[in-house]
Amino acid sequence: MELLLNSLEIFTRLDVWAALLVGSIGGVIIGAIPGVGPAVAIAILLPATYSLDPIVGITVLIGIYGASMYGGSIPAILINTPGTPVNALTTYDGYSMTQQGRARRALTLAYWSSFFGGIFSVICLILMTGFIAQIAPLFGSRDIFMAAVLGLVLVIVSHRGESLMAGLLVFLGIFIATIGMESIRYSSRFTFGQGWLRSGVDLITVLLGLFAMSQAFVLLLGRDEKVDMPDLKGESKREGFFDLWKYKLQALISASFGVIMGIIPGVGEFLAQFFSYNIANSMSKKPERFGKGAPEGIIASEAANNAVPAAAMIPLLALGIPGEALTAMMLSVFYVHSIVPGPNLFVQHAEFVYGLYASLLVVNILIMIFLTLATRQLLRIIQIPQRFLGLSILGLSFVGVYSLRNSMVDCVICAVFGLFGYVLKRLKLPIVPIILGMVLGSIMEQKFRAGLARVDGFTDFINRPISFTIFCLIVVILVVNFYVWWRAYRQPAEYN
Amino acid sequence: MNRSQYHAGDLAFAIILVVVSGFLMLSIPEETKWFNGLALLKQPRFWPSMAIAGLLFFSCAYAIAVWRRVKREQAAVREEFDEMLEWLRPLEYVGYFLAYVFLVPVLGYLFATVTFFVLMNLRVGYRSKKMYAIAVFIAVLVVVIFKSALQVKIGAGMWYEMLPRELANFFILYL
Repeated sequence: MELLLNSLEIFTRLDVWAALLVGSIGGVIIGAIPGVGPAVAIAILLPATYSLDPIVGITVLIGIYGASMYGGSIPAILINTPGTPVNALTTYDGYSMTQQGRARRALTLAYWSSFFGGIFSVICLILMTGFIAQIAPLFGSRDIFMAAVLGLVLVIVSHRGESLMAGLLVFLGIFIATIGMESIRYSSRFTFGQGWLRSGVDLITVLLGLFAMSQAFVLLLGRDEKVDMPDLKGESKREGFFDLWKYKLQALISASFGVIMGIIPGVGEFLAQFFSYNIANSMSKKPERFGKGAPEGIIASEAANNAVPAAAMIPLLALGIPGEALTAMMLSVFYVHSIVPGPNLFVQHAEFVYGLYASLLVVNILIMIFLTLATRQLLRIIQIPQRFLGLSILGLSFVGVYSLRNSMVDCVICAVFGLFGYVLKRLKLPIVPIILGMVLGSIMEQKFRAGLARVDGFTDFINRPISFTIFCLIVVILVVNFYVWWRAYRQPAEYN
Repeated sequence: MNRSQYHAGDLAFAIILVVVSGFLMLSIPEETKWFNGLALLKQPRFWPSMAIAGLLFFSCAYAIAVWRRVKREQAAVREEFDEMLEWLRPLEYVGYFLAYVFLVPVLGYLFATVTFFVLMNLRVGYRSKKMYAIAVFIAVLVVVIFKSALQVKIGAGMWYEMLPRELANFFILYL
């Protein structure tokens, strides 16, 4: 508690407040614009945050991450278009409420549910810190290696129906991370005699290509669509809060799902809201209302979503293992400032960790204040023409990639990944596994080689209690998923 | 993301991936080193080989799955070529982007960015004065935020050196 109070000193700094405001307001705006999303924004801003103090840089990024989901609910509810992919479930009941003339109620309910989810997960994070700080140092190289393998297995199996492609992209990511000079024997790997490949393929370049540039292409090659905004007059702003109070149990369950799914690497918001929505449906006395304007549907989706960002920081801070693309991007900020996330972080940089928690709390409060005051003004942002957004993203991608090394080669690599991302998007295939493959792959190789110093064979990797437990978990997940796949293969009609 | 149905382009994409994975597999001896006397797991070759083996396995499995979809749905694969042409459409914008990258060290970040935003505005079909004004405003805003305020590292324009010294310093630092 003393550390937490000491960490509050960061709020005497102007740069921290600027980061809180930029993160919270910028995140809401980015989330409210369909077609941009936090991944694009974070990828573009990432190199700019390298020159900032670590707490300032991370606060901006995590603010954008959390706030974008608040903002994403606005177009989901008003025009049936989720601002970010994770707001998709909100459209079911949110847009139905708009059609029934209850848009304002749906919006305030989404805001309060998001706020509840966000605050709940930060409190969980603070309460769990003592436990995490005790557990994390028990993880050695071999345990972290197995945890990274578990993360990749979960990434693959959580892409139901596209597991083969997810697996392919994960291995592609692992392969990309191996390109260049390796750090132990200093031999080149897959450079094809090209000097510019010796330093490897930069993660930021790949991120900007796959997320930002590919999205710019999608928007530039699409059409501008006229958006008709519904009327926000009518019900009181307080109705949403009363709805949340009425369904507090559903909110608690949904936020808990968000926290649990956020902690598990490779799972994230989609499964959290899917489970929450189904449970809220089964708990409801009027399940037939789901999809037709049920307040519990909005609560389930939004509370679960917004509980994920803070929870996703747990594997990142404790083990240095990012669970999804956005925390993978943040990992690079830690490394730039020589703050290595992992078991020792809580000992060596405890004030930084608590400062981050405090920032997360304040970000959620600032977002609520901003949304209460500025929802009407945000409606204009939703109407920005898509192709103009596309050209803006293309222009901004330049800053991200060129500022790394002022290199034309990086820009070409970024463009190549942009084209690859565009093809993946056209084919409706996932992108995130490549990034997680790159990040986790490089962590895996590093920990694998570090672990080799103390082992004779592969079985020594699982002779520690933690690594053995994780290994058993991996085996169980694979067996269960193989069984499900086998049943689907044998009885496709029943499966479909 | 559950996508069990065939989508035009799936087959071409699967074939490309198998070919690329196969090529990488064949390149392993050439592109990685083997150190005599060093255990397999400690070889620098081990990790990329493992990644490529996984890549090849999944790309073959994916290709088989796509082929099964094609047969099951009796899909007309002639649409593959149309879809592949669609993949090439962004090349035009890649060209504009790289031209912008080329222009920055020549014109400087501010002027190259304004030029890029205005010309792109024209290319995507906006003609109103309002949209041009917005494009210029956004371009200037981007430069002010990133270069002037956040001081991201973007080199100066060639012609900045021709300016009087104090003005040149200002342009180099902030624009």
